[in-house]
Amino acid sequence: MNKCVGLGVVSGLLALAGCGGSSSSSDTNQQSAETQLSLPFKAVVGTEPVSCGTTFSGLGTSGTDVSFADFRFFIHDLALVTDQGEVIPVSLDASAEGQNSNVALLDFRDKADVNDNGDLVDVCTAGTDDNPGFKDAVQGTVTLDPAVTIQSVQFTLGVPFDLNHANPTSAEEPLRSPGQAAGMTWNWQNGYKFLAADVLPVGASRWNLHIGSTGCEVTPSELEQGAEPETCANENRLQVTLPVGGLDPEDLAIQIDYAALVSGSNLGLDEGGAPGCMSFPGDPECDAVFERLALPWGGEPNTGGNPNAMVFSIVER
Amino acid sequence: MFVKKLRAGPVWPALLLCVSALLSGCLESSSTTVDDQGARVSSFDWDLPESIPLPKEPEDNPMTEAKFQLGRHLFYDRRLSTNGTVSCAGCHQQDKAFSDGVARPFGATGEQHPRNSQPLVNVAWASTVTWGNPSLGTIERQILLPLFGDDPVEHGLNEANSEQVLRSLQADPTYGPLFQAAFPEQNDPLFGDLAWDNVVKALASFVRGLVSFDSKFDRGELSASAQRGERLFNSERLECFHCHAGYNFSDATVDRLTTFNQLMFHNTGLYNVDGMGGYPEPNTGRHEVTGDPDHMGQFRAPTLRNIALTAPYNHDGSVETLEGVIRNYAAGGRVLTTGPNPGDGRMNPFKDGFITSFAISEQEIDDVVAFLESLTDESFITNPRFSNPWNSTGQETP
Repeated sequence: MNKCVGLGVVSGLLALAGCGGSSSSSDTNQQSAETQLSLPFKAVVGTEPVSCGTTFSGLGTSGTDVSFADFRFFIHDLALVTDQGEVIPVSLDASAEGQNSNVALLDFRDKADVNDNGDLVDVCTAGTDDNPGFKDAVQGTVTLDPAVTIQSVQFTLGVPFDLNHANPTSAEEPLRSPGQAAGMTWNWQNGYKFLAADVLPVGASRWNLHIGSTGCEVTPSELEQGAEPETCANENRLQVTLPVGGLDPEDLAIQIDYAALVSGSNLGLDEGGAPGCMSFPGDPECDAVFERLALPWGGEPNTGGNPNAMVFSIVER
Repeated sequence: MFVKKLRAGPVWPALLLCVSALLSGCLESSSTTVDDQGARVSSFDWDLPESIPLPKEPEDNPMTEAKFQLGRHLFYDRRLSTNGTVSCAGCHQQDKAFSDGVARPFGATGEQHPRNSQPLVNVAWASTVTWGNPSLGTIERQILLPLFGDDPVEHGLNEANSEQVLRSLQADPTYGPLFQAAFPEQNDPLFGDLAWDNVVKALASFVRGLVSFDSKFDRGELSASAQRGERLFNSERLECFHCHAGYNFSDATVDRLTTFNQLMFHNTGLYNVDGMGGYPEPNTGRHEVTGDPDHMGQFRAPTLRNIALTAPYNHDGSVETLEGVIRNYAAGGRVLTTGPNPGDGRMNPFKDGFITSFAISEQEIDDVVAFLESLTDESFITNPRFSNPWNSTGQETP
């Protein structure tokens, strides 16, 4: 993936970019430099990478064995944060596959069936070839002063509000459905699934995990023309801030661990509401998942997550 | 001032509704808009009586005959499903006012829908377009649910089959000219980037054009029994007209003259599964989307036009006859002592204030039913414009 490693390194920490080719776009600060950045994401189950057609054992509170049916999520507002607290936005490369200038769709389903026309016939559950939508890195550019020290990486799991409720059939990729966002739209809630992590437990029914905004009631004035809510009762956008720590920055990747995400959930049981957790208020399967994600739930504030189950972390590439 | 253009009869209930809503203090979020321009302007022949105001048309999908005709072909096309078994017309049959006669239909892959198929009657005037979702304001957005929804699966279109389905449409020579006529501003509306957007817009145009205002009631041909039923319907004893208000017999109605618009959903005391007003999952109505406990069991009042053709009734098809519906209202709610969801709906704390009990004789029930039957529009269910267009092509319906 990193075909241009080592180029354009401005400072040690900027090797985080890994993929240089800098072009100076200096404004008032002559020393700031625009640098290309390719930030890898890793989806794992404990120590194993998420993959289609693989049975992962001993997950959740009942040690359920599962295989994946879906594992995708949107991110936006990617940024680097300095040790002084300055947030330096990363501009997403709109020409890169699976992303536009606002959002990126990470897709960890590595297998798909593709017919002679190049059409997708099946994804993940019965796939044998590489999924053409597979995406495990975000491409962007960032303008950095070499004097600053980057302390953490920050992003939001979700789709920005103004894009979340627009017409998906004519949206810009990767938000179009049918298109790259097929299966990620959530029409009855009038938005997108920010995260879809659906599994097929062995010996039990499908356990879906859909994070997205709920309670997005439109006001009458908006019903006049289209249906775009002004607010949602439960936004459920998760801002993640991860300290880069002592890792060699050249080896940085952002990891999401499904085992940690569902470590408080019984994947072999559904006690009500939608199968698994689909973010609907009152769904008993959502309590533990939202706690792991450090998302407010059921009127309770964000508790900061569970220190024994880190869903997101910085890891080596 | 606009009201004067409307026939007095059907409009008064709507005005009474507004007044009563104000008096009862149960007014919800509202807005005031005035659209006095283009109230009678459309590039589409709506074929409406003078008394009926034109419905709103989306700015990005104005009505045209060409889109209506393309949508009509797509509406009856079973290729718009994962296995070629389901078209829109499967659950929306013209002879049943575009409902299907079953309590809860099955989708292409065998999943049963939790809801009763809505009849498609004057949908263009509906302020929201499903039984309980307050965030679906356009037919365009609603259509994505049956086509692409995965909970439940209806047509079963998804990431893995949508390209193949589109190719099957592209391969049919019938569609090229229809798409071109419907979207003349696009270079290649069937093969281009907006093909699916066009499919949805055309389907929405056909559904929006399903207009029914030619019943015996509209023609003033009510029988003596139906006339008695009309008086009962509009009486303060039965209170029917509050929710089934206006020319479309639903308070969830908007048109180009609407200056006062509010979201209308009502709990009618059909269930009380937990003694605290709960409706059985997943059919909790408006609450299912908003999560607001006060919205438990709230559903949109459907239009009563052609209601005699659309049994069984209520959001889950759990009431078989119009007589049954009236008896539930007469009781002030439904009491279920057997079955999977027992409970005393009369005691539902979220019940609408108009659902109180009332005394009614058997003759009066018959009269109200006769009035409801007078809302049947024979020309609507036989109109060739709304029928399967593939029959006339000599081609088998795909």
